[in-house]
Amino acid sequence: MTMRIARNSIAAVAIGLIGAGAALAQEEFAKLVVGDGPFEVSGNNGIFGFVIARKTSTVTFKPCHGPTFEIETNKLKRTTLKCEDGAAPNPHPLNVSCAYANTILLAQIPKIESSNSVAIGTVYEENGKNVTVVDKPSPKLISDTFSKVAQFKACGDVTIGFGTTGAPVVNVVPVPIANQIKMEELYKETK
Amino acid sequence: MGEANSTVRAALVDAVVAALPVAVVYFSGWAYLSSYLGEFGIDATQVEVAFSTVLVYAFIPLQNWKVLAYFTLLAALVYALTLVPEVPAWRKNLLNLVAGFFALGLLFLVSWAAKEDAYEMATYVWKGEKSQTVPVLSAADQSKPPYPQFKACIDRRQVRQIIGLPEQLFLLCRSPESPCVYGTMIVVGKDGTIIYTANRVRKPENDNENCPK
Repeated sequence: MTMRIARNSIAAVAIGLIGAGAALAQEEFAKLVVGDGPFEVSGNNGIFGFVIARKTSTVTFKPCHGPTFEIETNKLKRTTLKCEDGAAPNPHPLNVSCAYANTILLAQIPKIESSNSVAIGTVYEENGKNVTVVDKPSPKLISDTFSKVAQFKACGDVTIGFGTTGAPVVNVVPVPIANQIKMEELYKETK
Repeated sequence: MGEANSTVRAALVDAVVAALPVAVVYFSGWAYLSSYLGEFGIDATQVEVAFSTVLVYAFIPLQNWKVLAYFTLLAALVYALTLVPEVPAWRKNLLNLVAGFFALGLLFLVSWAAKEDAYEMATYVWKGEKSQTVPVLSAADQSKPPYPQFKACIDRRQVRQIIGLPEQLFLLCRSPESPCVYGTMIVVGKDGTIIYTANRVRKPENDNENCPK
């Protein structure tokens, strides 16, 4: 009887560990989001970030720090400055490395670059060894994806969002030029 | 000779005991002020703060219930030590050492409480729950570059006071797009000139944090 209880307990612990491992593995799957940027919000507050979804005259903007917000397209200025160039809340940032980038997801970049049909906001999800594409992701999916980011780092053309453990959580890949936000839609300096 | 030595030692102990409360209170005030200013990226060496001002701020962390509880425990321990009857010198020294460690622990606790209280007060500023201050700038300053940004911020009612010192006034202009995360700190001198501005970023508790605009 005691032996049976012990065996069942071991089996329960093993199932629990496998379950926890699977959950952990699932959490580790990063996503790839097609975005446009980097942009700076006009107004001299030093807000840099990316456009991760578009509507007619507004966009969903993911700043380098804090939650996403909706903003008029004509308040954005295209910039060459990266997230690392702006002010940061933490004087001791994570020491993250581009070497940990997700190769399966980044292998999609040539396909994205060569296709004019890929729009801002398209999400690529790693699913084991396969990649699934979500053309019109829900605001919740976008919000959940970026909420785990502790720090962004520019790795060439791709900006990678790393989680608190230093593992990549999301890759922001530039949208094909044909689908970029046009200069005339952006902020215009007035003299 | 031995009697003179013990008199000097007693006087020294009395002096230390008398100065200790003021030292702890001063430490508490500076711990709070430096933590609070640090929340806005201001280094404590950038400001000149009067002794009386430091003492005023000291009571914020000292009122923390954990500090009060610890202090009561420490006072009880010291009082209990005075009641201990004649014991061997080594045992009395050991008890004094333990009491000394507890006293040192009080400093760490005060520092921790100061950080916690300073964070809470800084959050009030970021969330716009602190006083709106509109300083009068010098007329000459109004043609300089930061002024239009400052004016626009005042018009949006987004200026909050971080701290007002006799020589400088530290203000935070919360950004309209993400007011609890991004802002510009504006430092105004006592002659009404903007000394400098600096962009500041706050780490929010989470992405769904309540943020009054």
